[in-house]
Amino acid sequence: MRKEVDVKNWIYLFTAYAVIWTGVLIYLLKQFGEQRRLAREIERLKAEVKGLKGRQ
Amino acid sequence: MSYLRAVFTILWKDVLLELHTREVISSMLFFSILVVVVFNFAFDLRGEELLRYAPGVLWIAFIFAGVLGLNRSFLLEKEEGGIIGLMLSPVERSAIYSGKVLSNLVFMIIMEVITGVVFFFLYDFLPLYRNLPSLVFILFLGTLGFSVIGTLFSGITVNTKAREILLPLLLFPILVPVIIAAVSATGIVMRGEGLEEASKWLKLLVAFDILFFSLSIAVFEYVLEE
Amino acid sequence: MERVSRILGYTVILFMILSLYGAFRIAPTERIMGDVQRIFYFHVSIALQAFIAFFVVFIASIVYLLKKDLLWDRLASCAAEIGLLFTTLVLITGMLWARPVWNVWWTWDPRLVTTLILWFIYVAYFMVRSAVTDPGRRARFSAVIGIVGFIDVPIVRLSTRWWRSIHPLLSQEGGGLDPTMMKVMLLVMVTFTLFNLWLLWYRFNLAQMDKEVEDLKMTLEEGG
Repeated sequence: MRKEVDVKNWIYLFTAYAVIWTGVLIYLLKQFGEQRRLAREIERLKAEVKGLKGRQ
Repeated sequence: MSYLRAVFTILWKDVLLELHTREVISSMLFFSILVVVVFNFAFDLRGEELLRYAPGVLWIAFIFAGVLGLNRSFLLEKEEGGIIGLMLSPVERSAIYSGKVLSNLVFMIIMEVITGVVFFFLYDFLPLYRNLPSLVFILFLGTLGFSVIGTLFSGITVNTKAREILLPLLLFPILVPVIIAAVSATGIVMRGEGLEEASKWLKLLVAFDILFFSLSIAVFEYVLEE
Repeated sequence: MERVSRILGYTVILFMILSLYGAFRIAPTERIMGDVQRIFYFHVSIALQAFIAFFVVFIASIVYLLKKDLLWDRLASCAAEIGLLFTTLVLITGMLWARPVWNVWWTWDPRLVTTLILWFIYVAYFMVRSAVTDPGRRARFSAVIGIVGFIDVPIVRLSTRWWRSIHPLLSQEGGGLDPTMMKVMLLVMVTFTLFNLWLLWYRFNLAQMDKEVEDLKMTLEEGG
């Protein structure tokens, strides 16, 4: 019962994969950036804690 | 104090408060009637159209008005510090929940019945009374489902920053099965078919009510815990 | 631990390349739907992973309420975030498939409606999270929503199916899948299971680091 489909529909296929990959990439890049920020923050804070302990 | 007595004490407390303030039911009722009137302009409810749209219009009015009532339910307790008193009292948390479910149910049913009467007069809508006991039964089951989930979630949203807006956002997606079942069953009964025709929807409503009531009883202590 | 995560990450990249090759080169072109059918492999795999992610939310929420360890809350919220990402992708790719094949962007088919409702539920989950500041309270509230939301899904599915049962469904997939297509499908599914696992691990790790930052700040404030 399915009606004929225009088979030249690669544009939809292309868009779908583009959406998947941009979505995933944006998310991943955000996470990578976040990880670097947090790693730096932890290092800085650890050094500060050490300095504080040294003074005490 | 026995469990059931605790539940009914809380229900009674809410009823007494409502008798004094007359705040919740009147605002819910006013709102639901307004919705019905506004829908009339949106859909031009006459003849065939009326029968087709009436179940949906009524349930949307009930649900929107119900959200108003739910927003008040715990807010009153919170503002007056009543919730602390409730939590200090030697009552199980789930009893507080059950009492609140009942009071919300009672308030909503009153609002719904009056809205139904007004609807009848406004539209001269006889199908509403074609099969009254069945209709009331559906009304009860649907509203119970609404109250069961609504009370649980209003306990949550009342403690958040954007409570009025958050409650419907949280509530409506979960309530989709109730809305579909209640509107479909109401439509079947209004068309004059027997309650058996709507039996699968009624089963769905009963299952929803029982499932989420028992689940909420189990998790409500975590909602109120401080 | 970090090395395991790294190895897993590279495995995911390798599998992902294989999957893309499989979906575009190995799998035959579907006769009726044409090239657009190649969305199918990734679309279905992502949908499955979204569901698995929400299942993780459900389990982690229950464990949190039982154990009261905020670690489980962090796991639940990370899984919910990934589930929401995947659900968004499923909805968009589904629409891009529906348009050429069914000639509409959207149809109120039970599967589509259920996915949409799922999306709404977990968006609300995050709205509640951002509206509560106290961590313990936020964890309890979101755990309750995580449990109720997940249990609601099959009921939504059932009700939407009954609701449109009069209409013959547009989405009957027809007979069995071509064996090559089936193999590609399995490959892509494995790929996304690994991807989901790695992503959850990575994201959870970030949440733990965030917690460490908070703890260090607390120590500093107490000391200073």
